Amino acid sequence: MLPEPTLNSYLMLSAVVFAIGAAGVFLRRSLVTVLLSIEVMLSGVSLTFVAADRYLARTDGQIMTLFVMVMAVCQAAIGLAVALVLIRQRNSLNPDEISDLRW
Amino acid sequence: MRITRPRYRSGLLMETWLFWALAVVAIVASLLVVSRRSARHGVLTLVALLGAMSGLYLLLSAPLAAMIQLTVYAGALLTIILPVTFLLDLPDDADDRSYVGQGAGSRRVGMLLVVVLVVELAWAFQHLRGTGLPEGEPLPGARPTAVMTSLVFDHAAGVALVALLMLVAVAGAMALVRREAR
Repeated sequence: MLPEPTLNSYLMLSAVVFAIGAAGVFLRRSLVTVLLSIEVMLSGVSLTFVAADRYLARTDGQIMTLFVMVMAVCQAAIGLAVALVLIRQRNSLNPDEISDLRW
Repeated sequence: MRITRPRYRSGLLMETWLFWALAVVAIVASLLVVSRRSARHGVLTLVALLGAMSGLYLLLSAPLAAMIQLTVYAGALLTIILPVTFLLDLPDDADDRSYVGQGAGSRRVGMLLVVVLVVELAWAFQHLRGTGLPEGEPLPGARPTAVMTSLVFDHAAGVALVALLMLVAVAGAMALVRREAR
């Protein structure tokens, strides 16, 4: 018999998803994959908002989730534009090669 | 606060099964997004993750967030970002050995921090086990009309800021790509 999902089940799931996304940000060497890993992290955060929203019987968490979705789409658009520029200039998406702003 | 819920009701059993099935799908999809070398496959598995997340939102009585997640977020990924990855013919994440040494120390530190985060969360949730959620009926304030009313009237400043952010993002993306194309 599976245990009944509680608030902690949702929070634990969102933490696991967030940690997987964070590991992807640290481990992968493609800018697009790093961007997708950030999207995974944001999904985990959104689940936390909605679960807390349900637990507290409020609507603020859902609204914050909508804001997070819009922000995620915006960062995907900007990130893809940067990836496009990098592909044209260097033919590579390796973040380790991007050091133009290094002091 | 522990809220007692009747057990072994068919609805609750279905909710339990759905939660665990969607949780497995979400974790597997997250792992695939992070581990796939092809950006196209990564986008497709991210859409699967977003679908599982929207199912979880429905279980949490948040139908508006679930609908917007599927139509706007996953839809934008499928109709805008996936074709871009095809058109650009993005190279796969090459397993180039010459880069293995670069930033290896910071990667190790990052992975250590992730492991510390998981251990801390597991320890914390062990001590908070059993916090029940309210009953599964949609909350009066969580109905889509109530959420939209709150969004427009109570969070108008936030909506304006997000709209400004979207405008800046679109202008920035166009400026980046156009300047490069000249």
